[in-house]
Amino acid sequence: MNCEETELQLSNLLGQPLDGERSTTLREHLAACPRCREEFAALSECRRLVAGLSIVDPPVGLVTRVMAELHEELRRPSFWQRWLMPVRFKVPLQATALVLIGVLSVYLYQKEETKNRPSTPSTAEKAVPRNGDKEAARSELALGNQSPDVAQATPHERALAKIDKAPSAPAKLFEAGKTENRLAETEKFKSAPIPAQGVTTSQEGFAFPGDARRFGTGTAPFAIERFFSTSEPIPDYELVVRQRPAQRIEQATPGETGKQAESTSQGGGAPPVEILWYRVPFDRYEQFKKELVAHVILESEIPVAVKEKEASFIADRPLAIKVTVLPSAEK
Amino acid sequence: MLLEGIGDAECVKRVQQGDTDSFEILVRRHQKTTFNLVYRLLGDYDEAAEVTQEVFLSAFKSIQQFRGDAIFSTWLYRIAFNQASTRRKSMQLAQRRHVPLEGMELPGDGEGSANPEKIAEQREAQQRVQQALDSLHKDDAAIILLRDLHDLPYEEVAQILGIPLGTAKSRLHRARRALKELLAPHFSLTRKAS
Repeated sequence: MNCEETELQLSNLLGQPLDGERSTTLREHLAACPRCREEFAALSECRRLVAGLSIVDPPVGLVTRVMAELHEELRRPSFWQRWLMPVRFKVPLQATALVLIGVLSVYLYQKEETKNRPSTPSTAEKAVPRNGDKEAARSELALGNQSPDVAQATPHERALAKIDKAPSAPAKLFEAGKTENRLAETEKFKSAPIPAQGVTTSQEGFAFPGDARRFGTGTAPFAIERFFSTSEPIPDYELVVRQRPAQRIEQATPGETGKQAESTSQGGGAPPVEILWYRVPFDRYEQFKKELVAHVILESEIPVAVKEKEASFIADRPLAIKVTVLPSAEK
Repeated sequence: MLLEGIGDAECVKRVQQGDTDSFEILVRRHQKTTFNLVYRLLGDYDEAAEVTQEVFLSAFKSIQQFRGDAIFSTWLYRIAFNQASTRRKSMQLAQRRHVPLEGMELPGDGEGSANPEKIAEQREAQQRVQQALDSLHKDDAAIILLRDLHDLPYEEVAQILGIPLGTAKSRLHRARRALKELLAPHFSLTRKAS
């Protein structure tokens, strides 16, 4: 056994009694080697010194402090609770969220408003409640009130509105009987215009040209108003059309005949001649006509009032169009 | 207290089930050894008190992770060693550590009070040893303290330091030789004091 091996073994055996076979070998080496003997004595001295270090009492109240801190720790919110729910973050966050919601609401409202606004706004649209306001329309019909917006309409519109509002004596009786029927029809056909003060309004998605039963379900890409008139206003255009044989409709009910069409008796059982009134933006007249021709046969087109007025004047308001629908020639 | 009679393993089990009173038993039982290990590693009484408190709090927070693979004291010493090592580094104790010997309960204080000279020599010897420990690397100081002061078996020392048994033995030998080099000039003084 050399000195290096002896030194390591002696270190491992420090503090333990040197007995047994291995210890005998070590003792023999120590007896023969003064250097290892000195090293062993020094290491033993070091160990004795460390082992002789006094055991210091911990500070009084250490246990109390530890337990107090521990209970405080248990009461304290966890890391995630502190992170997710601190008041200094929560309050500004909620306030910011509230402001954002408000701004977003206003933005969406304005966007929706712009989307709903027709390309050519008309006085009648402003004056008359829309499809959702049936009750308002009913009230106005019952009271015969004129909307303030009607007063701001063009002279021509005012004339039309006046005619609608103050019909002749026979027309009054006829109108009174028609009011409920109009409302019933409106509810029955959601896409159809709603009568109000004798004028109906259509919005986008309106089934052109106002009555899907008669002329198909095409959708006009512009605002069309269909209105009812018991008197005879001066139309800008008067169109005479004839129903196509394939699109001949079922016999209209007496109520519909009475309220929407002025039937021309052509003998017992003869199909009625209907007169429909429309308001169409000036620049959309050709498109309107094209759509109309897609469903019916155009017999004649008479510009009644339009030729007497300047185009600039007409462009300010929608055209009033009278459409006389003749029954199909098919027997 | 009736709970004083139960073992560490049972106390740990109860603490894991939410019984904080059982943890107080563990603190009372291990505060002295833990504090002395930390104190000898840091060489500062107040710092040692603070770190010991942190050691127990840390042990409480992570006690759910204690699976009982080792005995509780080994696990606790490991936490103490890690905490003390971190604090020792942050404090840069090598420059400004001191040993407050006043008030320290030294061996033979009670009977040797008649010999103030001997008491002074003993205090000086202990101060030399502490300074030598402070000068050692923290791993060397820790292994000497665990083996020679706390008299823990090699296996437990290896577990606390997280090293293999053979490494623990060779490191202890290396640490003792380093300590011997530091203390050799004072051997005559220490022999005289003892």
